Formats: sequence, C-alpha cells, structure tokens
Amino acid sequence: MGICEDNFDLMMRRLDGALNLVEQSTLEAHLRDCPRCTREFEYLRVSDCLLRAVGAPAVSEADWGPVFAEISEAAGSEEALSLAAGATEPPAVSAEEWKGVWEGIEREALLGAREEVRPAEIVPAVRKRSWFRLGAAAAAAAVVVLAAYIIFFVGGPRTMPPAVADEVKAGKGYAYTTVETGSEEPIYVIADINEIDYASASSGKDYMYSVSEDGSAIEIAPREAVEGDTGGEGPIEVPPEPQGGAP
Amino acid sequence: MRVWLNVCCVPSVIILTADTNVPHPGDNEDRKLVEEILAGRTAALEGLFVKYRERIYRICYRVVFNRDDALDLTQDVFLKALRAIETFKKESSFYTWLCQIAVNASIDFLRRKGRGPKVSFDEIVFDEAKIADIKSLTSSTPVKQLELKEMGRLVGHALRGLSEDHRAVFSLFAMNEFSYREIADIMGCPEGTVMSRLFYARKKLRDALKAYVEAK
Repeated sequence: MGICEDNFDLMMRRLDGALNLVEQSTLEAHLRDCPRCTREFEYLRVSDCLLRAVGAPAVSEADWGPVFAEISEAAGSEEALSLAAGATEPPAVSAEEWKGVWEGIEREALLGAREEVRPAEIVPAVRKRSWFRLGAAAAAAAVVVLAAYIIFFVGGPRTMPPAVADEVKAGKGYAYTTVETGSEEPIYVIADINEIDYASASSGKDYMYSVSEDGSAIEIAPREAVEGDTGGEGPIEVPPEPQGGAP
Repeated sequence: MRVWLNVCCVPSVIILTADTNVPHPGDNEDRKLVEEILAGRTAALEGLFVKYRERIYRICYRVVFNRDDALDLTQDVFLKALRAIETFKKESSFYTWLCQIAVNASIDFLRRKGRGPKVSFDEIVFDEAKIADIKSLTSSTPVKQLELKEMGRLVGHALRGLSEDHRAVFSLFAMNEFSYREIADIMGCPEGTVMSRLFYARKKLRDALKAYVEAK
C-alpha cells in the first residue's frame, strides 16, 4: 500500500514538527480513513514518548561527594591549576639567550637604528607573561619600523657601481670608501642589508659603521665624510640617496 | 528563539521546533564562572559542577546505560572541561560545550569498551511523569497495560541495536531541551543526520512495540 508507506514518512516528520499545513491536513485526512495507519501512528507516538521518557538512576548527594572530590583534587593540583588558570609561566630566558634573539632581529633589520638601540641596553625580559608578550610585540614593531626606515630613507641593496675594486665586488651590495673615525686610511665599506660580518657594513642615514666578528660596531664616519676613492683606481661613484622610496 | 508548540490534534506530543542560536538561560552566569576559573579561582568550578552534573550524568547514562560508568564519565567530563577551559569560546554556550565533551567522552568510552553485549540495559529507568502521558496516547489495551519493566525491556531491545552515534543523538533528544539544530551542533553532523538517526531509533522501538502487542 504505497499511500501508507508515504504516510509513514509523514508520521515521522509530524513527530519532529516538520510538516507544513498542507502535509499536516493530508496526514490527518488519511488517519481518519485508514485504521491501519492510525494504529501505526499510535505505535510511533508511544515509541517517541517512551524514548523521551528514558531517564537515569538517581544519584544521591552522598554519591556526588566523591565525584567532586576527585575533580576538586585535580583542580587543586599544580598541573590542573596552571592549565585552568592559564597561568603557565614561560620558561626563564637567560641574558645570553636574549642576546641571541636580539642578534636574530638585527640580522633581519640591518643596523640602521643601532645608535638608538644597542644590544648592551637590552635588559633581559621580565618573566611575567604580559611583559614577555609586550617585549615580543615591541621587538616585532621595531623590526617593522627599521625595515621601513631602511627602505624609505636608506634604500635597499643597490647595483654595484662599475669602478669598484675586486675585493669589494666579492661582497654583496654597494660600496663606499671612507675613513675610520680618527684615521686617515681609507677602507672599503660594503653596505649589504642581509649580511653582518667583518667584510660588510651597513649604512644609516647620517653615519656608517662596520661590524666586527665579535659583534661590536665601529662607527666609521658621517656620510658627509665619505670619500670617493678606491685606492688609486678612480673614484667610486657614491650611489645617490633614494628620493622618497626604495630604488 | 526556542518555541514549544502544542499541536492541536495531538495534545500530548510536545514538539520542539528548529531553534536559532539563542544562548541558553544562565549563559552569562556561566561565563562569569569560567572567567573566575581562568583567573585561577578554581573554586568557581564547583558552581558549574553543581549546576550541570545531573544533566551531564543523564546524557552519559543514556549512551552507556550503566550508572557507575556514567558517574565516572561525568567526572571525566568536568576534568576535561577544566583542562581545556582556555579553548572554550566565550561567545558560545558553556552547557552546549560541556554536552559536546560528554557525548564525545561517552562515545569514546563505548568504543574502547566494545559495544553490544558488554553494555547492559538492565537499568533502564523512566521518568514516571512522562510515562503517565503515554497511556493516554493509545487506545491499545496491551500498550495501556504495559508495565515499567516491560517498557524498559522493549526500549532496551530497541536501543541495543543502535550505534554509539545513534545512541548519543537519542540521549540528547531525550533531554527534551535541545532543538535538532543544537543536537546537530553538539554532534558535529548535519541536522538531517540527527533526524534520520531519530527516525531509526523510533522505528526500532515501534517494531519492538508492535511485535509485543501483536503477540499478546
């Protein structure tokens, strides 16, 4: 009996409250005329109510006691407390480790702002989590500011001028000749954003310096003092300052 | 908004319509308690435990059908909630989140233990107030004469054949406080799957009931 089979689905949906008015009237009309479906619907309604009526054995207050005691004990333990409270302290970071972190930041950001922020001035971060986050955010902000500074005011890596000595060409970036502060001897300085070692140096807007292997910086000369000299092979053309953005 | 409809020609059948995501009553209070726990005042956990222990126990019980296991699972649910409380999204309902943990813990428990014969249905109990309504729904004398023990046996027979997932849907359905949408959210499945699982559970019970009545 196809119509009754169709109505079985309608009956189920009726129990779910999912019938529209037309379907509901159709089903009711059918139930009035079909004793078999009326009986089926009764079984279904009883089944539905039986399922809704399934409960659980009562649990007395005395039974809940030990259940909560264990939860409470776990909550009181150091592990659970730290998890629950979100109070997990990060492991302590030594001054040496912080130095390594800073060096990584330096590598990424060039040394343009070294004058303002020197490694020696970095105090190991306070171990409170909020200070740790603040420090990380400040470091990230410093990286962004330094990168922007370099790109907009100093310029990125530039093309090597043609008349540059071979030892300078071996480096990456562009070259100046200059004199170390207080010295008359010209030295080559290779400005390279991505390298910090003895052979390379970085340029700030108003000064230049070289970084030695032990990480200390030697300020070489103000930019105005840069000499166009390659040790007898003709002057090096000092790249012009970028105007308003990266070259 | 949750709407309860009393359908005119079936006065005893209460139908819960599809719901929207209106927070459960008491959600703000729950969030405050969660904030306290997050701030390290774990004593606030007791408030949430007392408020929800019974409901969580019932959900677990209707999946595993063993009182001691359900109590252990209830404990486990609150411990899991405590350990994962940082992952609780404050814009959602704490109770719904707790139900999700309860359902998953119960299903995992059954899967570890192995379904079928190892799960006892001996302890099927009914809410007697709801049972009183059942007799008014039928003109069938055998159904009217059904005793609680016999009803338990029939329901046990029907539920025994359900998978863990089917039983979890049934358990949430039997709470009589969730819409199908909410059950689907808790179970992480489409609403249609919830309806089809309930269809299957009802049909199993209907078959058992019909066989019982026709054998009388």
